[in-house]
Amino acid sequence: MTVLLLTSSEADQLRGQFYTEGVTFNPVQDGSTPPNWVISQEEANECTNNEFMWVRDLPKIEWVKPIEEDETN
Amino acid sequence: MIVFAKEGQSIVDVVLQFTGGLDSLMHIIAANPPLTIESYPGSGTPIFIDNSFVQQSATLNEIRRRQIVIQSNDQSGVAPTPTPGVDPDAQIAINYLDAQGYTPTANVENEIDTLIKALKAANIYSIHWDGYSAGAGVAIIDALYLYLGNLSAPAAMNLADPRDLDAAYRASFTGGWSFSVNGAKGNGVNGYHRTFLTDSLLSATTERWFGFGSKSDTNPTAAVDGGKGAGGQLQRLQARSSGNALVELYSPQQSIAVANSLGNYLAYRNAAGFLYFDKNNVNLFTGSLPIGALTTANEYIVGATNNSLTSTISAGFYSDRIFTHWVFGRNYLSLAQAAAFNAAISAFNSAIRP
Repeated sequence: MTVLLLTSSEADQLRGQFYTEGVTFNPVQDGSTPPNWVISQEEANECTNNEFMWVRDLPKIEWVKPIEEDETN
Repeated sequence: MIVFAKEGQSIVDVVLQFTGGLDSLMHIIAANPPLTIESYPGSGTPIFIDNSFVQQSATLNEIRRRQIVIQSNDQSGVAPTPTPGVDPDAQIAINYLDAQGYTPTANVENEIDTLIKALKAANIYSIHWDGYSAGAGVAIIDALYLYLGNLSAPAAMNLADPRDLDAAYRASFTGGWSFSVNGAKGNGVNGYHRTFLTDSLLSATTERWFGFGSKSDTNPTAAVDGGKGAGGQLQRLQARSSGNALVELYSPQQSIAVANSLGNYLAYRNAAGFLYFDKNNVNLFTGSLPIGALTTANEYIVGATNNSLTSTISAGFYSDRIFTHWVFGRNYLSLAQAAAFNAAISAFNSAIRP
């Protein structure tokens, strides 16, 4: 699975903003060391907000799922 | 009588004209008051609109088309206005979906109507948005998401309160989601949706019930299909993780081996500490468990679990499951009501999901 690479400032810019009606961006950090800020392909593909069309030009990288211990397992 | 507002037309511009001796108006479903009654032959007196059925959610620029349904008990001898036969709350939901860009097919409309009638028959459906109070001990649904319409706006509808408001517990999608006739699917990377349901603010008891339907057969190691909270007293559900279905509901986590993650899951508990966990109306777990306290204000979310007082998500816990529905309820759900809910939602999903 590929995701789109963001800078930290781009992540701040996108966080909570609508990319299409009723759906907001959610930049997250992947499991790389150091972690990368990324958004998903769906967010770019479905983006209809002219202010953020630049996300379609972001570089693609392979998704590295963060490894988290489920604290209750 | 059915009247439609045209595209872009404000609903307040709609004028109802009656050509017969209509004795009374029982229900009017509309977008926004006030409606203007231009004439009322044989009466000459003002007609008072029953605002209890007026949907108050939409702003004018959201209105695409609205249906106004009037049911009459006309005894004047004039041909009576046909009664649609659709449950008024089902009609509100259908109208809402339409306004959100999805016109349900006749089959979907019928299934929504059937679902609501079945839930009402089991005494577990209420429209709390019009001030309804179920009273102590009556199981009620706070949110029921059906994820209809292949778009985020109609998919966000809470069947128990079809308004486009946080206060109506309308879903608010974040991150990567896709919508299809099968339901809503997070991407497993960053997709979740808020419910705005903070159950510690709903009532003081721990009598709660929640569940969902899964169209995906997955078996992740750490994803969470939905829940809230962190640190000891989680409230969450997971269809299958490392071979086990997981449930927590103000009590220690229970893990039950399941062969797959397809079907409908429902967890419910009573104030005495009994937790029930069913899959496809078959009980996976029943037991008396210690009850945790309503100590946090965390909000239930779908597609992950939040682990702070707001909505911070543990990045590794996003779910990529296709959800056919999610339900959140409170007050004790009896075994009979749980069976009725399972039967109703199973029938609904079977009828409209390929």
